[in-house]
Amino acid sequence: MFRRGMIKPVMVLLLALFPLKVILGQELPSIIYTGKEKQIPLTEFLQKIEKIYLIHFFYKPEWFDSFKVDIEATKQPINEILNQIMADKPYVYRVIQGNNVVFLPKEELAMLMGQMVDKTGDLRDISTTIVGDPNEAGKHKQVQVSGTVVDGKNDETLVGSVIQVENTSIATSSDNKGHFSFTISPGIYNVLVSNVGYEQAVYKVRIVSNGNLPISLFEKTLKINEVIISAQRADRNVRSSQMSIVEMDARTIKQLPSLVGEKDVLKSFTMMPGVKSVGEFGSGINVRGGGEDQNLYLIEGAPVFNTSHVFGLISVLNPDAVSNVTLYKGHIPSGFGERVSSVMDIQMRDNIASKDLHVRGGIGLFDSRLMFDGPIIKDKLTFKLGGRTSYSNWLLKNIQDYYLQHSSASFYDLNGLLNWNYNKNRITLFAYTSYDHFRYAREMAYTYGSHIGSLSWNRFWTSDLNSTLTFAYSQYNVNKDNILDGSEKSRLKLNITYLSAKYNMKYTGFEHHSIEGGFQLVSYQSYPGERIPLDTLSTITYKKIDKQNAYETAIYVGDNFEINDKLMLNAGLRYSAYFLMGPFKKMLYKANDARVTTSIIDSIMYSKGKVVQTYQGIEPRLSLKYQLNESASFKVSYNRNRQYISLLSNTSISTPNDLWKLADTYIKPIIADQYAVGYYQNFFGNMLETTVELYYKKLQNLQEYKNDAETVMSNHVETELDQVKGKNYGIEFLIKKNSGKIDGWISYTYSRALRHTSGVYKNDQINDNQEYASSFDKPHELTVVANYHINKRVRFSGNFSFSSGRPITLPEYRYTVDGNSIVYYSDRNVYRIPCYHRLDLSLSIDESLRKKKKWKGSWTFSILNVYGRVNPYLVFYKKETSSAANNFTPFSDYEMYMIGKPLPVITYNFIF
Amino acid sequence: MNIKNIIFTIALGVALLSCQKLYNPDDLNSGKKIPVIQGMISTGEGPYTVNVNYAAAYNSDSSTAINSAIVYILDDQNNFTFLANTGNGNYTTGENSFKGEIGRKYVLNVLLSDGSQFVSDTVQIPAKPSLDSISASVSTYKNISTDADGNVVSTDIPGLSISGYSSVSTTEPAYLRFESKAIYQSACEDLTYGYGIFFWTASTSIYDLPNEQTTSLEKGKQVVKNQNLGFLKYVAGANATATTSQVLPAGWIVTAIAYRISAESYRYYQSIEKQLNATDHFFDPVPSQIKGNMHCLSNSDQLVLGLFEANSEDRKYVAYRWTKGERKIYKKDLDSFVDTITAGHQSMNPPAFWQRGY
Repeated sequence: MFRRGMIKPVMVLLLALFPLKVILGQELPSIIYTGKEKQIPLTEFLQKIEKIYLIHFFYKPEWFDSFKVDIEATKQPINEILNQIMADKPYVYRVIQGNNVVFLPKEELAMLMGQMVDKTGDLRDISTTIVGDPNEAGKHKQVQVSGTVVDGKNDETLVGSVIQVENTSIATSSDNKGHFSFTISPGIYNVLVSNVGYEQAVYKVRIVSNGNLPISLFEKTLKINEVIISAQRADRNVRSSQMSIVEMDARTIKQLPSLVGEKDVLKSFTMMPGVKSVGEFGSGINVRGGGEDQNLYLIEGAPVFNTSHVFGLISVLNPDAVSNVTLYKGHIPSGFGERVSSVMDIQMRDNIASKDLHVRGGIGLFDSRLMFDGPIIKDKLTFKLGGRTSYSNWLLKNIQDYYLQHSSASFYDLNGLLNWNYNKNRITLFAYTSYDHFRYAREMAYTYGSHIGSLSWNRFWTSDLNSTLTFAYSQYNVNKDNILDGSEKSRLKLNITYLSAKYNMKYTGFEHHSIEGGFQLVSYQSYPGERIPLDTLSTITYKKIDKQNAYETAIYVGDNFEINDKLMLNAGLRYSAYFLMGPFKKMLYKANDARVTTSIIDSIMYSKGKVVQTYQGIEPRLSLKYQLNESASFKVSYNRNRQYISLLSNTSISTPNDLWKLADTYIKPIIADQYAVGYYQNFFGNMLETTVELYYKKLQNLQEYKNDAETVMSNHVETELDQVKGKNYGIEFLIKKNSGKIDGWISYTYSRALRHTSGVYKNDQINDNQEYASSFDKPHELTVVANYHINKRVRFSGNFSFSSGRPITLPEYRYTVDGNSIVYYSDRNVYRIPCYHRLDLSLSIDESLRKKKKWKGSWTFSILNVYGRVNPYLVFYKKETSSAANNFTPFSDYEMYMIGKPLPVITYNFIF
Repeated sequence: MNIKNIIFTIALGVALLSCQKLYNPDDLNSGKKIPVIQGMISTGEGPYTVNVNYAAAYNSDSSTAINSAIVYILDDQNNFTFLANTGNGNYTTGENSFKGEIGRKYVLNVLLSDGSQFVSDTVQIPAKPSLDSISASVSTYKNISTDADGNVVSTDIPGLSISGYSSVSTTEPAYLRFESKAIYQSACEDLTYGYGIFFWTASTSIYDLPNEQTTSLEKGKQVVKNQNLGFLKYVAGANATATTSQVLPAGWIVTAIAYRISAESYRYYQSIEKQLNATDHFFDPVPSQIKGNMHCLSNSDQLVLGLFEANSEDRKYVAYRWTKGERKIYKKDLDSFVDTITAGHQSMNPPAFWQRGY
């Protein structure tokens, strides 16, 4: 029986399934009732009738909770009794197929009747939905409609869905929680909702007052055969004032090509324009020429300081757990700060509407995954619990490198999410932990991990006003052990701890405005190093670098202002201030000398709690869209961002023991100003999406390493760094086909990332103050991703990537000092490693489309690096054996790469 | 919930993976003639040598000496000291013909036959350091090597660990660089003829890397305590022949020198030490240039490598005798020692420099 709260869907379903047999107002068959009831609840009476006769009643229990009936009948037709009961009530009933009796409010029935007449048959889901309280009808000139867009298959929220009101200029999109809202005059409208990969849905709505409009979309693969769907691309790229944004939802992530045999959410972004990585190995991403530390990775509002397992082979994000990822690479909303290049906002699968327990998992090249999610209290409290664990040791054993063969690597990560919906409140508790262990031959061992958590309270005060209070915690720990036998056996410990509280409010009550504002307080604690001898014979002495404490505060406000039908302004202002707190030891250096260890003359000690250094400033965020026509727009943006924490590393590729360094008396915060313009044009009813964006980024106070920099365990790390200026610029092209038998995209980026020092002294100069390429300068980048959908479940995919090699510094000459062969290196970054190109092919068989089937498995058969290209991610030199003729030690360059030959991979994922 | 059994397949081309290969960039700029000029003068007895050659391509195992240069040192009183070529790109001041003076400033000049002229920064000899004491303790040296199968092998070698205590009479931080050399001497009895055979090695460095330190203030002067000066390896009977036996106690004659160097020299040697300590894998530090203090006068764009330094010094000579397994170390301070001895052996009687009876 469909009964509790199911009346509307049931009606729609019944009407859709039996359209020809529905006869409104048909009388019940001649069922005769005899009985006597006194003050019996109406619901009880109806249940009694159901038990006796072959009749099914459909209604919402709350409609009839307060009704009691008196019945005294002798051989009376049941329809007469029902007429008698409902005579004084605001409900009517209708009979469907003889024995199904559906109760409806009188007003709603009127709507349904109208809808039946209007039905055209070419739209999948037309029903008239009332938004608001019918008793409020006629009282408002403008009303607010809000709601959430979910995936109808699993009730997960959908970000980036475009909601348009037909025959009006009103259009909006769902945010990263799937929420949307718009202001409109009361009336009857068709609301068109679309999202990439989903069937377009059309909701016929009667809007009477402020109210909620829940929307469900279904993947194209689930479409009903007899219904003809004209798949249309949501034109969010054209309509939204936001530019320089990349969004991926769960479905997109699922279809992403795998780069190292695993779905990798983070690395997959490198397939998009303006986003790169140093190679197949190496953690993080580089957005528009920025370092990996210039990206703020937020999981459920908490930052991630280490984004990779096994030194960058796999990202720390379990793809099964991730629902939506939004990368802001240009115009960053004023609610976000802390980093200068990008913000990646990662949302876990949000399944508050989930009704059943789901289990999903998979077997990959390096690890296995398992995840449970489902309701604890239906519609109120849901949970998600998942994890991954590795078996990557076997891989190392098979790499033809002696040291790696004698190494070991393992990792795991766990994540959990609780969602509690209570009236207008929503509370989310998120926790994540990861662990990595890597032992490199008999030389060193790394153990590192993150503990991340957040608690957020989302409150809908009115239909126009909501707020979110978020507490976030993130800690990253590293232990690096020198395990060589003998005098150097020691452990290095590093740690960064982050705590924040953020309060955000959003108000949409003003016509054409969506205003957002809030404040944030962040506490940083950095433990730059503690070195502990691990053996009684160790000559390493215990050393601890003083921990550093700092606070970052910010207040912000932003408004998305629809000036007119063509112009939309997204303006924001963020003010951030940073306070470095004592205890702190500030070194003093000789005047008129380079800042090197040998120029230290004294120091000042600041006591605990004393403000040592303050930095502050305003960060304007502006974006303006001009709508050229229905399918084209032009956008410009300007952004200023400040970053008070940066990652220090003196190795060619990032290692886990890279140091997160807080701005201090000498290390100033990084400041970035970015200007961007973009043109967006969609074709063929949004089936083909094209984008061109041009950007110029000016950077100040970037950290670059001086020659021979040694940042680990340094009491005065400023002696190892140059603060340089930089400029990043580029043009990005994207052509994306969103539907059809073949879909995919082609992106091309030309970009540069250049740096220069301006030091007076030789020690403060890099390349004699001449401009040089940063390590992330890869001018040309081309990506082609194509999917051929053989049928609803099977698709053949290919992706090709090409990029310029990244800059490196190579040895050029060799000479001898005190009998030792010494290498003379070129100027910084004047060479490049060979260009990168690779083709991957895969055949994917998705899970069964049968809804009743509980166990659903999917297979992917891939060949990575089809033509066996050797793509080095690193070049290094090695000393060779001295020749017999003399004692000179020559050197050779070697390149390191991950996959040098075609690699077949099979992966299996499941859900039940 | 109906849980089914799962059969997972991971079919991987394991053998297809590889990781590292030789890389020869086509456009590498390593074919130019880059002079390398290195030299040091000090307050001790000479001779002092300046070496002039061309840097080799980084992957070459040969180097080109420059023997046709004119090399001279100019001081702040306009005194010229010409250095004579002795082959292999070496130019020396000659026996007792030159000795640096504390407080005086010097510039090295090198004129090549192609007309290019190179000069050093002006360097000044600082006040003298004091190598106050040298001590030895029984220790073990971990020798890490790779066997034929590629396995890392760790071998314990017994011997003496040598350390020193140095000071400089100043309150400002000072920079010291240490050199330490030793002659290893051992003897055995020839069973055939019944007399002793005496073996000795050449005087060789016992500390592989540049050994520079900065001082710290203690009791009003700048000191370097427990500075590692190297390790004396005990190799009993290493030079004995098949006809010898009865290993005798081993001995060493150690020469240790403390140079007081400039801050610039200190940074130069630190850079070299960091590079030499860099390991051969992907955790190598970011590569960096080491240039020194030489410049080309005739062409400012011409790259020249190397360092000319002017130091003050203090040196000590110590003889040690020790037998493996014993705790007792015999020590004797020597007033002087000529450490230019080459390896050799002789029967019946030990050489003149032989140290015994201590």
